[in-house]
Amino acid sequence: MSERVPASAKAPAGEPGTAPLVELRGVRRVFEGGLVVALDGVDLALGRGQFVAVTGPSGSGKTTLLNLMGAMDLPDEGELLFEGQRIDSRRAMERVRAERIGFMFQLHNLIPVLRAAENVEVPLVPRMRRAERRDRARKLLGDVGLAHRADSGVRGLSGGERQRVAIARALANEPALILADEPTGNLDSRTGHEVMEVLHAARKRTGATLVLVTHNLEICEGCDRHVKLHDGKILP
Amino acid sequence: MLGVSVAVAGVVALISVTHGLKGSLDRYMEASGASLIVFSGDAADLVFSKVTLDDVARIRAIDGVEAVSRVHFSAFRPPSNGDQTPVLPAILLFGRYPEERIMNKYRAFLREGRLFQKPTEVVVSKFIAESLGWGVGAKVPIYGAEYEVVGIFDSDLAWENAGVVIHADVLGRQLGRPDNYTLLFVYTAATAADSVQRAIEVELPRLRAVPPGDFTSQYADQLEVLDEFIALVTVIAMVIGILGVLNTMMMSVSERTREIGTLRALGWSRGRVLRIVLVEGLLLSCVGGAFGLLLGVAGTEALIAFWNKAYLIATYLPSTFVKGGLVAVLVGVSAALYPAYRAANLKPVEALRYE
Repeated sequence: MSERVPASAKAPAGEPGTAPLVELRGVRRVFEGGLVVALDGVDLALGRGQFVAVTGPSGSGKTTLLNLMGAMDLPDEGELLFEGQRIDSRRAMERVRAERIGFMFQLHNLIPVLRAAENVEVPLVPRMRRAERRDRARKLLGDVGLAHRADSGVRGLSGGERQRVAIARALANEPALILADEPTGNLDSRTGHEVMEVLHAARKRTGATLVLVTHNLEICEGCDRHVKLHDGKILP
Repeated sequence: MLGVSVAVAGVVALISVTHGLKGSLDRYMEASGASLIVFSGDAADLVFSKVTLDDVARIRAIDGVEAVSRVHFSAFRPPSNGDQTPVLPAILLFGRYPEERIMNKYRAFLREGRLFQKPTEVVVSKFIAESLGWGVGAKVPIYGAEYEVVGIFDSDLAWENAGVVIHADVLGRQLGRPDNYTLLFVYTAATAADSVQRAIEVELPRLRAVPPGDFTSQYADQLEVLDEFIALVTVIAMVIGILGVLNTMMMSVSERTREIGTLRALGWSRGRVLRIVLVEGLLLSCVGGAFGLLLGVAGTEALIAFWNKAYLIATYLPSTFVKGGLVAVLVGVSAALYPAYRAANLKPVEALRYE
């Protein structure tokens, strides 16, 4: 069940006068029966069109934070809101993921038996006819400079090409929020730089908010907001 | 897929052979040319049917009855070729009287020699003659006595083509029932069949009279046992098929846990993942089922060729293939249900961490 939250209750957003795109209020997330506290009392509100970098040492709660913002997990305590709507059910989580969020994973997570264009089509399968989504997938691949690789199998792509296909897939549902978990973690620095350029270009073109989890402080340069995590808390 | 194929093949083979068996029996009865088959209504099996000489006399006296042919059935193990293994598993014996109308059928089938006239003579099928070298003029041992082959017939009926026609008195004595018969073929005018049937059942309530085409469906209880056997084998085959597909699907879901997690993260609903796995299981079973249908026919034909066409015949009805297809679909859906449930309920966060 999702519930509209009164405007007065909203935390400060990136853009004055609008609801935050995603908001965490007093969020606590524990694992292993409470023995591991991944996030502890986190308050965070992100506005639209921002580039947000999330950094912190291993085990600081970066991926847990990303999973919560991506509606893949629910907090044990506190509230998670997306565009002002409380996310507290599996159905609400599924809807937000399908319609408003694009994901990029460290290991690209492309489906190996599908071709590049078919991988980009995956998020569109539940809501678009085949011919329509095929056209859209090819256009998105063109946007990331891979129009010529649309019919290539995943195994025939380089690491950088795979991540660019993953970027195209993350953009397929025209998301308001792109979540990227160490997208350059498995790439050499030159390829990683190229992938980030493509990602930033896509963000600027679509106006989506980009939340990037990384260990690499170099790629945080130019971010609108830098969230530093330590032991499950956001450092001031 | 192999599990489904074997399950479907087994079902197709069993049903086809049973249909063949029933069809053979029906055609055998119809080929007599009789209007009615008369036998004991209370006998648990045809071999226990007993129609007495008094019954025969009373039926012959019924208005509209043109002729009555009395018959015995039996079977014996044929002689071996010097070793312990007989050339044929069994020879059917048809006890008939040479002067009765039922012999007209053999007259039409006769290929060599003549029909028997005396208790010491027999007529054998072409298959028996070729298998055992029992040509016209041969002296052949049956139940320890010697008989002369005087004719060879060639029937297109599976059962009959594995048989020897012998004098009914000889077979009756051998069976210890010289004054009663297994069943009667009753010949009437075409328009009198119904009235004769009613008259027999009124005058001789211990007996049943049925048209030849209805014999299998109305009387052959032993064939109903076959149907029950098929149902049992079908259930066993389905369980084997379900376990096979279940194992395959569980492994498939386990191997693709990260992929499923990715699909869920990218917005695929639980219902869609459930349907995908179910459809996959169904497709797997349909392919296995199609292969099983072919395997069933090929296996049955191989079995018939190996055993012998004189004893076994298969009839492939469209309904048999439909049943085989249904078995495949049921196996597919049943076996994919649990893996589909597991896949649909994977939490994306945990699935993406799976290695």
